[in-house]
Amino acid sequence: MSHGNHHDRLNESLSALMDGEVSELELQRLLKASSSSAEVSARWSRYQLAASVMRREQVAPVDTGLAASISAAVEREEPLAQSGGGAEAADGLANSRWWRPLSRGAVAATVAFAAILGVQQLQLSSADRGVQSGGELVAEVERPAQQVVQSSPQPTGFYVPAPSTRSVSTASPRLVPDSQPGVAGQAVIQQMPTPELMRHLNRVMIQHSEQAAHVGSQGMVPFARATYGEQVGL
Amino acid sequence: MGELGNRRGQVSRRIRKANSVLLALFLLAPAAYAQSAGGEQNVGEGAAPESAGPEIVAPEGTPVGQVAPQSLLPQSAAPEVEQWLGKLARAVSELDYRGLVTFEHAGMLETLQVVHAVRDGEQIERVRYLSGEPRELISHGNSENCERTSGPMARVGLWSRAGQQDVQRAYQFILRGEERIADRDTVVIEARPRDRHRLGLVVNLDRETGLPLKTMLVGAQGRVLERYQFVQLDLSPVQDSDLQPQSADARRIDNNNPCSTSQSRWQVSWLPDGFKPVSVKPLTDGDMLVFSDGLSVFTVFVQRLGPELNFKGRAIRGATVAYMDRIEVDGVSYTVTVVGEIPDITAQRVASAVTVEG
Repeated sequence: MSHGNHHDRLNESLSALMDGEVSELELQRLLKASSSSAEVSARWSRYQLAASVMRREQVAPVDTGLAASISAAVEREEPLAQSGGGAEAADGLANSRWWRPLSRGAVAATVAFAAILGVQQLQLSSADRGVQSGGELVAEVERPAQQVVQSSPQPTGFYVPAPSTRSVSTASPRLVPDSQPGVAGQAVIQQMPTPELMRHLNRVMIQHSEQAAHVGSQGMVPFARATYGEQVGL
Repeated sequence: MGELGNRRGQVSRRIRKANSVLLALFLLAPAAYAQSAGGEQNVGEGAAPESAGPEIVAPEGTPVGQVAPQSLLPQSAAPEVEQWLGKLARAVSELDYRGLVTFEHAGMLETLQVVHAVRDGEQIERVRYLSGEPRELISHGNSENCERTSGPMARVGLWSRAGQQDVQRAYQFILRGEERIADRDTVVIEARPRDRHRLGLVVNLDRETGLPLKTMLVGAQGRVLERYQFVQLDLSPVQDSDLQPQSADARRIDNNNPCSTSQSRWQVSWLPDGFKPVSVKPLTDGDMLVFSDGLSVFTVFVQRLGPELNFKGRAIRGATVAYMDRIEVDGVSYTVTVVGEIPDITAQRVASAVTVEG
């Protein structure tokens, strides 16, 4: 296979990935290629930027290093393809919307939250930014949005976007592997919560929800939230 | 209404197509996206509101009374909306119903069974997850509500005039048409936040009973963060057997005294406009303070916890955010956690505003 052909195929795979239509095989190939080819990696970053702009997500201007952070994320993802040792990174990244097509297994297994630290606040409006201490390394990975799913049935034979919603049949929480040793001085790192942290978060979320059922309630929704957080072993 | 749904489907497909074109453009001129980004704001999915409408009000810290001058208030939501909200308040607390529900957030879809009944003035509610880990919860509670709850979503009681005006300072209510949900006709009502400190809500009320059959929480840029939707509803009287737990380890909670007004040494020096304390509860390791603006609720936990919880940042699950911070008082470190269905920034600001009394 000539280099050019290979290249084209990678680009095709990349497009497919952005449309959520990539196969597992292609995915592996892309991950591998992105780690070795700066060009593929850069192209990927541009796709992601463009895609998130089109989804009307707020993204930081290019020059504040979003592209760099994506590249960093890509690098962190790479071990998943090779050794599986990067699964925890994938879990954290699964929270980011554009990343979702990447980490299928990880997303399916992640039932609870991805707690995120250390990511600069991309979404802070400038007004709010004034209030916050600038150097604080606080997570602002965008909240995963629930795509609006159309009620009307999609006609068959037409292009149907890959479902953004996953039906969870196995909720066995592969929640918190070893927390990665924090890399000092690195600003854009996502960190998985420790078990203690998960327990605490679950507890406060449950307590909050049960209380909310009696305040400004929407019927039984808070109970659904409260019960959702219960996990075996937490 | 089906027609509208279809049209929406087409629009989003068309947008998708347009996106591909745009994508190509962006590749040619990646730096140009910033300018275009503004324009994108208006390409919305049909049902999702642009977060806070044009009339963003009140700089931080403005007293509630000044938040929304009368001129900014919608000539109170159309009387029709008010009637619907009153109907809703009655329905959620007085009706017997059971049904199947889909609950989606963060790209996850879960299905659950819900049962609601009233027995001797006591509400009994059972929620059981049908997917994922078996989880079940049964709540017994009287119909009493926390005090702040003059909002339209109050489980009990009619929507009082005062409460109505209160909540309308924070949200604009819009009747958005009709939709069919779980084989029933519903009316769609949107509560659009007037500032960026709270989330929006789109709720579909059963035309016949007023029961909410679909509830969506909507964040900035109209992104839907959580959706709770019936796929099947049964309004026939609930049998006692339906109120029994179906799994051995079902959790039971007693909600008969949901709101307490204990004293707490902790205070919050900044609250988003319209949020007021509704409950203060002592915990074994700290205090829990609950605030609401009539629709949204958040809870502030101040606890003395171990150093392993030395975490500063947020955790997000669907529409619920938990922001953690630490506060040091007299050499003792406390963990502050703000939990709620509110924007991240709001949670963060509230967390940083926690102070000790005096």
